[in-house]
Amino acid sequence: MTLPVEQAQRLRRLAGEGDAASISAYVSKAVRAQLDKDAALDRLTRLYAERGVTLHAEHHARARHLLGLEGHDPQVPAS
Amino acid sequence: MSAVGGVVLDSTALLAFVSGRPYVAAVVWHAVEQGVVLVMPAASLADAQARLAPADLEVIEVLVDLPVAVVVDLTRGEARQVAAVLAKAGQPDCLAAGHAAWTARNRGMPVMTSDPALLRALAADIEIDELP
Repeated sequence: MTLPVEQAQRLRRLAGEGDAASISAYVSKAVRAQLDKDAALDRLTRLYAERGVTLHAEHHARARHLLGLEGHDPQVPAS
Repeated sequence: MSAVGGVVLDSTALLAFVSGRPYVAAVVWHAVEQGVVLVMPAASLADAQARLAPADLEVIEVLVDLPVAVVVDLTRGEARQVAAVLAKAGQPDCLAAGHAAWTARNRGMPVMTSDPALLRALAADIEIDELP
């Protein structure tokens, strides 16, 4: 696994200046969170497809406004 | 505008998700994508589940199993506070809505609902997002 230098430096600082076990735990936690999120989005995408749920631009826009997410970069699912 | 800490889903919003209403589906999708908490009061969840056909119960389980889902229990102390909300509004039979209104107020979060009049009657000071 390779990381950009800036990320590696921040990771070392956060995990305790090169403590390998701490870095492993930090990376493992981050990877697990991302895997859980990706699995959840995949499950939702399949559920919506199975049930004929179609999301249009206005649904995304209103949802993002409610959640205060304007300006974030979403992975919007295909309608 | 910064991301909100979370959104409360009352029983009408939970039923709207199960029936495939696209706005609720979009809120759930973006909440997962950006890590925004979806709060489901236990009384609202039970109320929604009681109104679903057995085949639809697995759909609500998908929602409850999401990594951003939080089911708020109705503990002994909270039951007393929810009861006070219901009594003050003269709506003693509306436990599910009362738990949703109290949770929204207690956590300072907006609540999604298709019955805004009832929630406003229970807690006029909470932010309500009416389902289209």
